[in-house]
Amino acid sequence: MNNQTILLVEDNPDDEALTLRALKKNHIANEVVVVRDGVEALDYLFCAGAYSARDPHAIPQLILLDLKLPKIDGIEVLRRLRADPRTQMVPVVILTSSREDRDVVQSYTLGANSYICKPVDFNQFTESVRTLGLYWLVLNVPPPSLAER
Amino acid sequence: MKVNTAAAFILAGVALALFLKAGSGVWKPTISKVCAGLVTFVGLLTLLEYLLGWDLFIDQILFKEPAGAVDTFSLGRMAPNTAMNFLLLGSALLLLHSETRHACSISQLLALIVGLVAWLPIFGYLYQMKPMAGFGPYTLMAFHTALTFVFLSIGVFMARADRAFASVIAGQHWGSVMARQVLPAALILPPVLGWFRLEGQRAGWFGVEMGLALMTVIHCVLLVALIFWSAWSLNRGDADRQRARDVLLESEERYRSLVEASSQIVWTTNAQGQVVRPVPAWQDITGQKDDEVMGSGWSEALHPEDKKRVLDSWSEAVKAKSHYEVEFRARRRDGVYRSFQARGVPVLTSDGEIREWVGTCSDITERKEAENEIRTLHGKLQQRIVELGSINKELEAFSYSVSHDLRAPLRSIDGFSQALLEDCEEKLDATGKSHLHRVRSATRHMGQLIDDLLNLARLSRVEMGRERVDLSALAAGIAAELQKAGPERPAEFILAEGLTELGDARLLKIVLENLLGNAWKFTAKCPRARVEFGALETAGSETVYYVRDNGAGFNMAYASKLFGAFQRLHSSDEFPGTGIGLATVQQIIRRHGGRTWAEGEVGKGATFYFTLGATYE
Repeated sequence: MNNQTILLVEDNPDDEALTLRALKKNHIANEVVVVRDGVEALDYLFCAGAYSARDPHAIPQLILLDLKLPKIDGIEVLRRLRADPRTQMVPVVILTSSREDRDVVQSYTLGANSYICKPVDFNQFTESVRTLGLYWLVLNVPPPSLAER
Repeated sequence: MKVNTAAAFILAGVALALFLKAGSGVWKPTISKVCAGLVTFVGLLTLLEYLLGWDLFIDQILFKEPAGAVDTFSLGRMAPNTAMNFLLLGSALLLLHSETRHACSISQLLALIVGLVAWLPIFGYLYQMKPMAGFGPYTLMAFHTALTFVFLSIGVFMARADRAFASVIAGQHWGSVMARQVLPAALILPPVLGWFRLEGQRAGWFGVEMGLALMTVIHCVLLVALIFWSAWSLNRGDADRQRARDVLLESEERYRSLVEASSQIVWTTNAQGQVVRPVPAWQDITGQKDDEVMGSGWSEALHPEDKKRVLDSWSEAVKAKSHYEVEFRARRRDGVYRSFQARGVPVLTSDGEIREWVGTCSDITERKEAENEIRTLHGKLQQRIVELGSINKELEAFSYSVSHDLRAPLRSIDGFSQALLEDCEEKLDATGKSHLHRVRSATRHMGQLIDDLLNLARLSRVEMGRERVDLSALAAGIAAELQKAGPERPAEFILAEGLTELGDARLLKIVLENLLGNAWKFTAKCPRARVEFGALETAGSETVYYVRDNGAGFNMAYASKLFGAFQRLHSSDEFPGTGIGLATVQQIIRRHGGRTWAEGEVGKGATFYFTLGATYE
């Protein structure tokens, strides 16, 4: 049984605050775990480093992944988490400001489920988050956890 | 004739026949020589018998002659003149086989003598003067013997018809042809005349003196007639030959002049590849003299590095009898090295053998220099392309970081302004709220600007396609979309049909989107908007396209600013926009090699023109 955590991978504190604000405004009550770079993200997902005490079966319901991250960038995180059977099926939504073809193609090639461009306008951003949350957390059927397969 | 005579004739005939039929084998000539030798021997022995009075027992060796034979001196022995003839004939036959210089002439002479000696008896029999057939008490040469001798002598004389005296009779030239025609007359007419005289005299028609005088006169007449006929014949032939020669001379003059007129160097060599005739054009350039250029001397003027290669390919070509083509440097008389290209072809005789080589030599220095120049420029071009490639890459990286890094702070500004508005609503008064609105609007505008700039930058990096684009179809599509987006606006679109151009489809779509979009935008306040798209009739080869609207228009005084990036002639309140649209249009049109310009009048409308160049990068 998945816990309803949302993993937010975002290095920019402003963007983090705004995203959380948008989520709250849309009454999305899931627990949101925020990690600041690629290394932390992978540590969280595979219960290593600072998160060794975490339950390995507790995989997030949704990962919101930014591409421009320090240390290990979003693309590499995506690649690694898709390589591991535990995290292979987790819905990953790329939430980034880049609209470059290169990034879109790479993300989809590596197995991202969705690619959203962060708009400058905050109202639009809030609207995007609402739609996002509604779709992935309510409408979408999540994949079964490894234990259940 | 006597037995020995007959036998000797047979041997002589065999000897001649075998000589004429001789192939590559050795037995035919050998037998021929043996037979000829025997003939000579018989003749010699018989002569010796007569001269020395010996009896060598050869006369009756084959058959015995019955006693009482007519006209015989000694039983079975041939006439002395017959014997001598055999001696000479045999020698002539033997000499036929010899290849030494005068053997052929001597052989033919001997054959002639044989013929002459036999001629006399024939006359004797013809004129019924038997004693002419021999001398003294000795056996006379029989008539058929004499005849056979004549035939054989002709045979031996003509056996080597390509050499010595016989060639004069048997040849192809006019003299021989003439001789063949005249000779029978010369040999037959005098005897006939003589016979007439003799018979006439015997019949008593005229006396000795008269007969002699008549014969002499007729002889003279015949000779003169013969001479006239020969002269006339030869003259005609010579005239033909002269005409042919003149035509040939003309042709040769023509081609010689052609060669001289052309600035090419023309050279010839013999079949072995040695220069035997001076090459004036080459010598003119290199300063070599006639004797210096002979043989392989011409190669002395070549650059030392090229000399061996050229001489090698020349000897290769001569050996292989193939086409010759080579490039080399040669020293001009002033010491400067020029590049030349030499070409040669063999000239074949009618049997397919090489008679000589002919060729040309051209100064290709300019061409080589041009080639070098092209190569250098090409190299530079390649360098530039590489440089531009890396510049492009840098620009890409730049716009990539721009799209990420510039937007993020904007988001923060906008987001937190909104947050401020929401969270601190009670604490803010109308002024405060209005400030924050302006902040937000500014950030949104900036975001738009960034997007537009990035698009503009991307355009210049994009690879341009080249295909036939249906402009009318594009315009129609865009018009439909505009109308759909604003169905409440009554608008009239007048779009020309069938306009196609060569260009990049995507980019041209952007052009029309911008121009038609602008027209749509600036007619927003018009009660009845009219947007036209079409092509002007021009005298020139290029088509001028236009997009016309009856909207807000603009002041022609500011026409030069229209296409500048971010330049606007209206405030954002009046008509929204970042001012990048026309800059984009101009950028695209420029890349197509075309031009853009506009005309307008405030309140009446505006027309935007553009052309698409025939060639573009």
